[in-house]
Amino acid sequence: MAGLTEIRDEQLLKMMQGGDEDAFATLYRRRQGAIYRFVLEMSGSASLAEDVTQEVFMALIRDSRGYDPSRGSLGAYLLGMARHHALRLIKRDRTYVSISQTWDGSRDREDLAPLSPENPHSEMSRRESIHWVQQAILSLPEHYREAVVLCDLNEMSYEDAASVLGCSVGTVRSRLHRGRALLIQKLAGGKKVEAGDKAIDPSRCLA
Amino acid sequence: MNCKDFESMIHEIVSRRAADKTKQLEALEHAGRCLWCALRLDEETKLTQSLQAFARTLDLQRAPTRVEEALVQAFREGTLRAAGPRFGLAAKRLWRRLSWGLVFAATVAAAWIVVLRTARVPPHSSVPLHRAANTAIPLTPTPNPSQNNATEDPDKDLLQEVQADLEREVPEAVAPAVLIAEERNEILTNKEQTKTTLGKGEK
Repeated sequence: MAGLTEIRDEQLLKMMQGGDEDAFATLYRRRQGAIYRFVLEMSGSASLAEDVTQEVFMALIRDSRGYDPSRGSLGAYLLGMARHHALRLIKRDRTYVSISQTWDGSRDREDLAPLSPENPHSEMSRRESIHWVQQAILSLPEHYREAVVLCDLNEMSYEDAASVLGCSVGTVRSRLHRGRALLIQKLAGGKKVEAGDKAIDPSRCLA
Repeated sequence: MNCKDFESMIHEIVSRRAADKTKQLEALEHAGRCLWCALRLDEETKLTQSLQAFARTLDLQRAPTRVEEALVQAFREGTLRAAGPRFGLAAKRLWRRLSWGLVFAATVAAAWIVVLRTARVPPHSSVPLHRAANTAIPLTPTPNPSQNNATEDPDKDLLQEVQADLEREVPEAVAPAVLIAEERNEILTNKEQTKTTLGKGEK
């Protein structure tokens, strides 16, 4: 089993196609975290993230020959499937992405470290800031949200993100740019403007 | 570098993705000269830091263990099912071949039975003509031998009956023949009369 962790995804997939259960388990453990987090960040729902993760790997079990290595990495292929399932479920139940809804990450927040006894105020402020970021991300339109989630939160390259989203690198860049601009606006509107700060109009910079 | 170029690559600068280090330095130099671009850089840097802080809170997030257990179980069942059809397919082929064989055997057996049954019945051509005539259905009902002292020869009986019919009125069955004969006789008499008339006239 220790040897399997060093094997590349494509090789594990071939072994899995041959009925190797350990290869499947290794592949699952390697890739499930990214898929689960991607859906969680996209939807804000832990239960939906769980469902989608299960659906993606069930689809891989049913038809693992649908993956074409020439079109991108296996990780990107799985994330593409996760995106497809997640968008379908989000469209079915829009309430998951409503800004008015509370983040379905109660478990996540409980998992956070307890408030630091030295500086509880700054810790609370940090948590509040994270909460606002979560809400701002969930309020973005889907195509901007997925670009931000993939490139900023998961630090994926533009090329890989383009492979997941099924669009060009230029489209990823422009969506990311627009998504970030919207985030800045939302975060500036959600928080109290501190003294001396003022919102920047990017159009003036372009003049 | 102008503000537009700076804006187009600001994300690469804050996320340290810029492939071209020279351009990155140029952009930073531009931000040092341009107040608006400096503020934009600050704004984008803060956003990136906030996003990274949020991403760190989710770093350890994983699907629950029950998902893995369910998937491994499904994989195991799927592997068994995938192995199943191979046997099923072979069995299907065997059954298909067997069924065709059974159909062929049944057809041959049925044909053989038909041939055997037809071979027992003698063909019509082998029966003599006079016997066939004897076995023919009589035109009139056969008289009961116990009631009538009929002769043993059926041909003679038939002939007698026909003669009796002719002696009585002309039956409908032979009426056209009788009429033709009568017409013929009439024509002949007319001819003879004509001849005699003509002979008298010549004289």
